[in-house]
Amino acid sequence: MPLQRALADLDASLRLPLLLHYYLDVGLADVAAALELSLPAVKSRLHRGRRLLRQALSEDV
Amino acid sequence: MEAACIAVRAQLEALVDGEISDRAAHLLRSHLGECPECRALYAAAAVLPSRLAALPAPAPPPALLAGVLQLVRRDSVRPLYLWGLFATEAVLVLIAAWYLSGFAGLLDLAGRTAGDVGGWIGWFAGQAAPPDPAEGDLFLLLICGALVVVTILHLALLSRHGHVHSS
Repeated sequence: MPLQRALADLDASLRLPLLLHYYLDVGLADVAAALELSLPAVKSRLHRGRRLLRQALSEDV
Repeated sequence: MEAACIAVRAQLEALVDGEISDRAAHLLRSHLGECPECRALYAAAAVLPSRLAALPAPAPPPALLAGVLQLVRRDSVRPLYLWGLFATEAVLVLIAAWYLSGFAGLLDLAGRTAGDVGGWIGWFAGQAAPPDPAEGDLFLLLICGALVVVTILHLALLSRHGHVHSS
């Protein structure tokens, strides 16, 4: 599955922090402020999102 | 799947970010050394952030594209319009030059102007009487006035289109 498809399938609450931080290079504190989340919550969503992406990408390899 | 594999796979992202204790990281890495499958997963987890950063930009929505094209089309009319003003200015300058009988007339005008300016400077310095007022030339004055008006309009248009200030 291509990365874009996997991202599109991801829940928005996980996709948004991923795109803000890794794609747009927004700092963690700024992501937290923009999404009105705590810093640990942002980190946890980033980890969860990356794990789900990784699993989706490896499923049909 | 071994219990160790499950433990490692749940913490791969934290391991990539270096966000777990040294002791736990050491245990996980020693498992990676033994388990090729977990090692492959770790490699996938490690490159994911850079893959996200390297995503191609999303395609612009069609409405935006149409709007931009419309703007470009509207802009493409602009240069002709601005060149038209250059032509007007050139015609006005040519009429003035023709009226002054070409280069000799211009030299004559420059000489007379220098004489007038010199007379006024002498008067300001208190060395001479005020010179006679320059002989009026209504037609030349009208041409120069028109040239000034067209040039001001031209500059206003240029600055509004960003030719003078930005590009």
